[in-house]
Amino acid sequence: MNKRDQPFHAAGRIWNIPRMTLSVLADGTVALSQVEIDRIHRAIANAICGSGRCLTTSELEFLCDVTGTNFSEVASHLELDRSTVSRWMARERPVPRAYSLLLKSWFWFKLFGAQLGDERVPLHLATDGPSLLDYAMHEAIDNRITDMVSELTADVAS
Amino acid sequence: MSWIAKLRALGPERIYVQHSPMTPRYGRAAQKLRYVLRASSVLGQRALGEPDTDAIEIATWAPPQHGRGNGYYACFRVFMHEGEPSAAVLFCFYDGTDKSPGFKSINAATAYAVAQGFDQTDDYDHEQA
Repeated sequence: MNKRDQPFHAAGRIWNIPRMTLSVLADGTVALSQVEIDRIHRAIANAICGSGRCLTTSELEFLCDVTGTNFSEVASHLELDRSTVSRWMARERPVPRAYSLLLKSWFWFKLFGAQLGDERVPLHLATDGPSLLDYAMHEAIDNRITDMVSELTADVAS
Repeated sequence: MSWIAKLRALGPERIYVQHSPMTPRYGRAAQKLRYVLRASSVLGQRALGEPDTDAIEIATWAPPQHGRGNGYYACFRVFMHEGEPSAAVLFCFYDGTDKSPGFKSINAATAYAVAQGFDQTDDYDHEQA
């Protein structure tokens, strides 16, 4: 069963999913398959990585879940102590901007680098991290590696 | 093979999360599904009320992913075909958010599962607590 413009909760927000495939199981339960969940999660991850905002702790946890990354690996990538990442999570404040940019690039490449890692990029983007990530996000959509999703609102109930 | 191993063996095409419609907690269930399938212990199983239904339900618990807080209590309905699982749907997910119960230990989760009518199975392993 295909549905259009469905709300989907992830990374502390509600997203609009333009097309969603729901399955009706033997007992009548309406459900999302793990394959469909993975597809939607990749699209949301692309949108998060391409946004100009600093990562929230919910988004960092989401990107870790989607890519199978743990916080020790995050700390190691940033050359930080594991306790620094734990402190970010405990305080629930956005990840500092420079670290956000590094993490978004890293996570985006984990998800889409195998398909788009050899794409040519305008050189002027190399000095501007947010613009490069915005470009990468649109490349993933334009190349039909993932879908465009939009943010509806922040979750209020989590 | 344990029940959780059987669920993993089904593959992502035949593992589902209930959607009716999605709530924030079931969004978290979808987000944590991979971890739940990897790290959970089976607490118990129960038969469905309908005798003709070829399905069972299992309760599982996974420790908190980042070392503290509540773990993830989940229940799966497992559809059977010729004695083997053919699909499974996560229909219950408690992690202490959204006013749901939260369980910090496998013992607490097991006590809750038993109170919900789940019988402990051979899968149950206190040594993982």
